[in-house]
Amino acid sequence: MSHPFVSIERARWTAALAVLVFATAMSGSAAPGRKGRLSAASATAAAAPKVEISVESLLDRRTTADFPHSSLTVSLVLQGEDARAVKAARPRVTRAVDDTGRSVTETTMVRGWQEARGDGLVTPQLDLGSPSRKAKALSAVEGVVEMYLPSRDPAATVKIDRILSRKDKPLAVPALASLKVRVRPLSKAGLEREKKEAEAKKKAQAGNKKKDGVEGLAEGIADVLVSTIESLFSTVGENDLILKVDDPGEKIFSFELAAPDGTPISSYATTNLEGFRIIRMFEPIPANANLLVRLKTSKSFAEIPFSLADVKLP
Amino acid sequence: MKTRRAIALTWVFLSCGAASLMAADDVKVAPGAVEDERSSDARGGGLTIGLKLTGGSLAEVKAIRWRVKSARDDRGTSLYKASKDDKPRDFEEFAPDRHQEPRLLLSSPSRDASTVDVSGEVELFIPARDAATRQRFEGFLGRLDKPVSSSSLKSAKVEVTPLSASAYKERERKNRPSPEDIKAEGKKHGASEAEIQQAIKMFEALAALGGEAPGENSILVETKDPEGRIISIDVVAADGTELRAPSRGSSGAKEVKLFKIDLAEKPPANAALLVTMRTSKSVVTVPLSFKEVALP
Repeated sequence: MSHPFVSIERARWTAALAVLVFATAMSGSAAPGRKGRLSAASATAAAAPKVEISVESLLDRRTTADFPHSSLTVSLVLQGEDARAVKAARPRVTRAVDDTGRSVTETTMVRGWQEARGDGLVTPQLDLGSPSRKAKALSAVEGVVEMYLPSRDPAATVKIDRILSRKDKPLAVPALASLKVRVRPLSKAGLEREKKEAEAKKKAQAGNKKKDGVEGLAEGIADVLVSTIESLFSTVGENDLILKVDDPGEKIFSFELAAPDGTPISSYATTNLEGFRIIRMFEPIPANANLLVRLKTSKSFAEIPFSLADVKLP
Repeated sequence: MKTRRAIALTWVFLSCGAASLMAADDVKVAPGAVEDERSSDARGGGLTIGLKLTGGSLAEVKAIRWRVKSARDDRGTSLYKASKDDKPRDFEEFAPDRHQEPRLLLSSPSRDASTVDVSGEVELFIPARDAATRQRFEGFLGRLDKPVSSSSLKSAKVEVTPLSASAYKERERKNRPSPEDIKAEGKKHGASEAEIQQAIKMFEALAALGGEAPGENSILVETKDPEGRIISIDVVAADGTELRAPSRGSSGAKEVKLFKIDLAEKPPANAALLVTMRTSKSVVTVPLSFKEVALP
């Protein structure tokens, strides 16, 4: 007999999981900017990674409602010699057509970078327009998959040993300093101090009589800072790693945790919140865990074209 | 004179009663938005059809539930299979201006299909038809952790217990599913061992996050309602006005359910608990008959 609470809790927590997955996707999408894409194009000429692209599954969402619109989501899977070196991928469709001749290239959905799942493989999803109900298959889907492969460039990863022993101290890492990147792991007490500092700043701003122009803007920023830190307090789990990140040039692609022998330590999501990153953990981080700061470098991006034919519709 | 007054009062009474009894006769159910989610992998997907309710007396309908008897696409595919284990679904609260229309969930029709036919019935809960639907319990805040009592609750096999914060937290902890419960539920749904382990970790991580703890504005209630008679639980002031609750949450099932009602302000000591329950007189059944509903 099932526990009476399981089904309800399941539904509630599945929704929470969906939010977390969304948060992960969002943090991935926010990380690399246009520079990453341009770099990827130049790197392609250097060496194409050995990755094969195939369809894992399809979801054809058809609706008479105005919103959200009907759409077709194709989940791809990257396999082959270099597949596990791909830490994130972002597909782009150039042409897609169903077997009735309807073009489904256009879509209203825009996805960012999608990170590897638990088994280490990346399964990027691409969104297409809605095929005809009469269509049996997609006769062609063509495009490119942009990939982030930090192992192709030693400069793309900065390792910080024993990250938990460095809480509340700015990290003195020349490779990050040269990029004007500052990272500080925070303890709960450190987060509390951040909150107090932000509140003090807010108070000082409130003391000023003039509330317009630059001062008004500063007060607004202080408000945002206080509410950000408050929301951090309400959402940070016992096992999570909080990082205060200053990255004016948007050089950071992502953060990862690894054991001293390089074995990845999996997190279930990363949340990016106004200068703070929270690496969400199911279990406590081992004391000897290292932080890997993945950077955007031209050599760490690549892209390969794909062309799929006769993709059966569900 | 007395006779004329009595006749007039009887007329008023009959008119009011008749209005309530007639209510729902004009409520019609038509198909709303249709969504066909088609997945290439075995899990997920299905057809949903919105229920669009119309009629002058719709404002009196406070909750609804529905039952599908048959559903078939124009290729002959059955989209609904009745099972012996099927239990009547719970009533869900209804308001004519609710954001999302109630929706029937059916199996996926054939890709070749163009239309579907559905038949069944919709039950409308109209509390105005029976005063016994509303049970009010005065001064409940002074008698926490003891069930409130009334003959109506007893005959409906309903138990309602306003809880103190400590009793609520203890019950919440006790009711949390164990890894064994999650494992059993996962196996029932065909989840793999890896998926089950991931779900267990997810439950533990989210339990560590915890919900917002009960505060001085929180009203905490446990219900035991095996027949799903309770429609809603509210808190009212001594004069009967409802106390605004910007946030509400519940966990559990009909057998045992915990409610956390976060009021906008600390409730007055003389606040009353208002339990709304369905009774046989308060429920009206209307047919559901959709023909040739176009598929998207």
